[in-house]
Amino acid sequence: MADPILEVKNLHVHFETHDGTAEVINGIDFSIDRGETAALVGETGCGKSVTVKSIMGLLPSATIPEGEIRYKGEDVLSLSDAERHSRRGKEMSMIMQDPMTSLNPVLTVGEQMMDVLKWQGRPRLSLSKLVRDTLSTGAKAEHRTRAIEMLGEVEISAPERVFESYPVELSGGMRQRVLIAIALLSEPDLLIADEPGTALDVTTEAKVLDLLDELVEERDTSVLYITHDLGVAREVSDRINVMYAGEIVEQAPTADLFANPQHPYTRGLLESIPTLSTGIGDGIEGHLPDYTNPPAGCRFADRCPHAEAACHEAYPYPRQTGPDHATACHLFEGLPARERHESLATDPVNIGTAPWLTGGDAPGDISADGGTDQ
Amino acid sequence: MSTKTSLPFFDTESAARKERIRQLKRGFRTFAGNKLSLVGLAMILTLVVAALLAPYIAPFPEHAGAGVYFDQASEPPSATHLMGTDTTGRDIFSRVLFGARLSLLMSGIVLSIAISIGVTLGLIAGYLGGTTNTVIMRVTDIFLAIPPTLLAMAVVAATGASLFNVMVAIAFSWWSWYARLVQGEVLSIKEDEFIESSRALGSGWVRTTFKEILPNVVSPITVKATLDMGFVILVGAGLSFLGLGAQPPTPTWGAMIAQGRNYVTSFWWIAVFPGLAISFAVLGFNFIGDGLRDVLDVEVD
Amino acid sequence: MNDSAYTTEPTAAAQPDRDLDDPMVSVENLKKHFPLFEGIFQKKAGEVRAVDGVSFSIAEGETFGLVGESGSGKTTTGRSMLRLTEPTSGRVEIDGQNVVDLSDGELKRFRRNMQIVHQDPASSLNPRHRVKSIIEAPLKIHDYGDSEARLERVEELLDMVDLPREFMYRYPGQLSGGQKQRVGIARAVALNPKFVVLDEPTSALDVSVQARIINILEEIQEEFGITYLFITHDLSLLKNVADRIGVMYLGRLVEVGDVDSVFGSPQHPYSRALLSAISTISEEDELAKPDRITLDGEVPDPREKPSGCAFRSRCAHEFDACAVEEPELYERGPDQVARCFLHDDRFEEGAEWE
Repeated sequence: MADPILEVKNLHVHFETHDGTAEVINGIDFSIDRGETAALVGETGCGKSVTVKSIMGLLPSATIPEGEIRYKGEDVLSLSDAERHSRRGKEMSMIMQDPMTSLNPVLTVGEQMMDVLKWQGRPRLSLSKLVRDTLSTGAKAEHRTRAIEMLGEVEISAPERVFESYPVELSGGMRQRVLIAIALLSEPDLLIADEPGTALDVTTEAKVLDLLDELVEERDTSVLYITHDLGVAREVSDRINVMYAGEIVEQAPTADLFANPQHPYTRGLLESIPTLSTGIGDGIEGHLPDYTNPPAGCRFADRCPHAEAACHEAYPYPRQTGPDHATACHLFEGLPARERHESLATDPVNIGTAPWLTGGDAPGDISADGGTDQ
Repeated sequence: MSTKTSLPFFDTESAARKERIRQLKRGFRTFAGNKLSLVGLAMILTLVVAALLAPYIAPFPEHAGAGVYFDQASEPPSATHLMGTDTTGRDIFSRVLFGARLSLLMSGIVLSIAISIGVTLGLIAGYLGGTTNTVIMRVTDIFLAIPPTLLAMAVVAATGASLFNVMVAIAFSWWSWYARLVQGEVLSIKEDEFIESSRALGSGWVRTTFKEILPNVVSPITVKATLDMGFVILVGAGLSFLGLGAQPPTPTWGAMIAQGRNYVTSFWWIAVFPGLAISFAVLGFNFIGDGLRDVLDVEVD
Repeated sequence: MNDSAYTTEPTAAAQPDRDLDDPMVSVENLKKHFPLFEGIFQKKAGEVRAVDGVSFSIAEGETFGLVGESGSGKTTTGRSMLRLTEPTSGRVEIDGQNVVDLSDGELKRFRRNMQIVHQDPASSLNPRHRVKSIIEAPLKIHDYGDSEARLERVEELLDMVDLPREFMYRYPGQLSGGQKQRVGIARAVALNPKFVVLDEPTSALDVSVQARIINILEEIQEEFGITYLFITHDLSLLKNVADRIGVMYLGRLVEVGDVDSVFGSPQHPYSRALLSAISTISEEDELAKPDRITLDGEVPDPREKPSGCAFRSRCAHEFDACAVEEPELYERGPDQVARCFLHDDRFEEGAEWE
């Protein structure tokens, strides 16, 4: 973690609901190094989108009672709206999930791209500047060239034609490419991709992901991928953070995570994925806890096949289980991954060792008895 | 192991009831979030209680009918006569209370008729589509184009002025709004997969429309009906003001205003208090309607 | 992949015969064309051939997987088979009965034998009905016993899909996605149908939930011998649930066969590309699929299908003949056929396949 471009420290996000305060994000920590591609993986409702929106500053109705979000060392939570706005779009940009609704249907692709170029990083333009920009054919021509060039870079074969098109005239894959082009227009240092390609067909999705991979590689852009699909995460990311119920339960370099998945949730998830060679597992029973009344201990304990009484009581702080591997589970011993948990570590909960480690199964054998057999 | 243990043990019926109560509470909190809807609720409750108990709380219940009490004619509001008396000496407060009964009853009956016709036609038109839809909706359009007061006046002119005729006349012009509202809702609900599921199970169109679709249009109908309660009172009052509704001495608010309109400058209370009663009712229903709209999250019109 | 062992004679409508002696479901030349209207006067301006001559059969108690991308016509195939949309032509025989011939009244009665589980459990359950009345609906429609017998059956069905009996008093809004889908399954199997169409039953769900649903569907199939048509875009899922599969592209089946044969050795360039695009979670799987094949462009507009082989606009192997006529289904194994000229002896290019 030499030079992180983004650091999220002990982030808590709360929402006020009719049933009380929902503690949707409960103290998560992760970071992305420059040029690295990190993935935030989790299922519906785990809080991955909320995390991203807090980073982008797009959550007006939430409160952040605790935590820091550092972008290039600067705490963005303490910035004014205008300052945040100037970073959004210019320094970090986002690719939304749904290529059908993320583009404005009444503007041409070109108009939307020109808008980005005109406004990027500026919360407001002075009227004189706006008039000057609008009248100056020079700036306009420059922007146009730049936009068309960008469309070419996302491998759109007729960029001039697409530039003049309305979103409805384009196929889903095409629109997703346009969204990528728009996100990369301002040459951001950090790109956040929220399930790109999920709405597309498999063959198209594969192509779009490959393309995105190439583009960020060329530019040395750091990327945060949000996905529910561990298979996609495996293909695109260097590092994976597995999220469950507003907490990061396991983080490790991608290869390490697949070779040695530790948290019972990660293992359950891996087992549930249908594979070509080993079949389909039993899935994970139960459902997410109530965010307005979350369990005191481990938020996964209710669904965990290895949970003991202590798991429901004691908070499973993330612990260092390998040189670059942290897991938030009482089945593992290790120093707290975060300083703030040192006091908890003085009185460790002992519920034994993970059964798949003692049972003689190879650590990587996810088809072993790690699931929820009944 | 996990499902069974992670589910809290509960007794079937009482858990279902508890959940119901929880939802109602949540709904009420949304409703109460808008202070005006609470005010509206209080207003309408007052009105309903007053209407129900009119014979018991009216200081002069006998004044509801005909009667001449010249010794106390045209008295201004006082402790005995809270709203004063009319030109024949009847207690206006008592008559306004009885008027509330008539207004609410009339509004309720009119809307029941209008909703029964409108909703049925709207459901059929929306679900069956095609020619059926075209025929029903064009007829609906024609009725929508005629102002209800005008239509009611024509009907009453043809059939004679009576409370019953007025109610039928208003209902006759009012159903078209419900037909249009419901048909629109059905068109969107029809696209939901549970309608196809129902067809896939082998149910015919009657079952699908009335069992599957109808429960899903209840919310917008409820909101619209609440708002309309006030408007129907208004139209009814207008018609009785013109002498087309219930005939004297029946104490309808409209007729009372008509009676007092010649004395507004000298005995203002004769017309003003029934007028206030109308405003009170219309406003109350509108406030509730707005609150319900938030709770049920629907758009009407 | 020793193709030489297989015959490369073009056989018209070649069908694998393994399951065909007495199939539970057989579809012959099923077509569904949607008319296209244009302008303010709604003039008919052509048609979309969403399903254009599809034939396959399913043996009793087996699962046939239909896979394809959006616009392939897989869902329309399933819906036409159940006459949820009227097929334009063709024959659909379910348990010996040609469904296409049934009158409206007969069809309603026959629906007890064929059911569907929809993709989106959130919209396929009426939000205003309790779970009990949702599951009870088919029982009522088809006059199943008195209210007591029906209640008993509802309880039995809830047990079957592994939902607590108390759930019958809940509304769909109080259930999670997976629980809703279990209710959808309970409703579909309530009358012991012979045949159930599963239209992407898990694609709206998380994987951890999907696995549970798949297990439940398999248990029910095993116990009651129900025949499934499993429609999905997810090949890895199909590998785990189907006995035989059919790959659809623009309204046509391009490859049909035993699941192991098709996955082990896909014989159509499109099947191969689909397989190669699967994202995997292990090295083992990585090796089990073909290397990534990038297809040109995207699925063409179904209104403007290419002439000849509809896939040729994206195919790396395209040659002259592909534009002229459409290939037949060539037999490629004991239970595997593929619609591609590369398997035709007339064309030397066939050699390029490997």
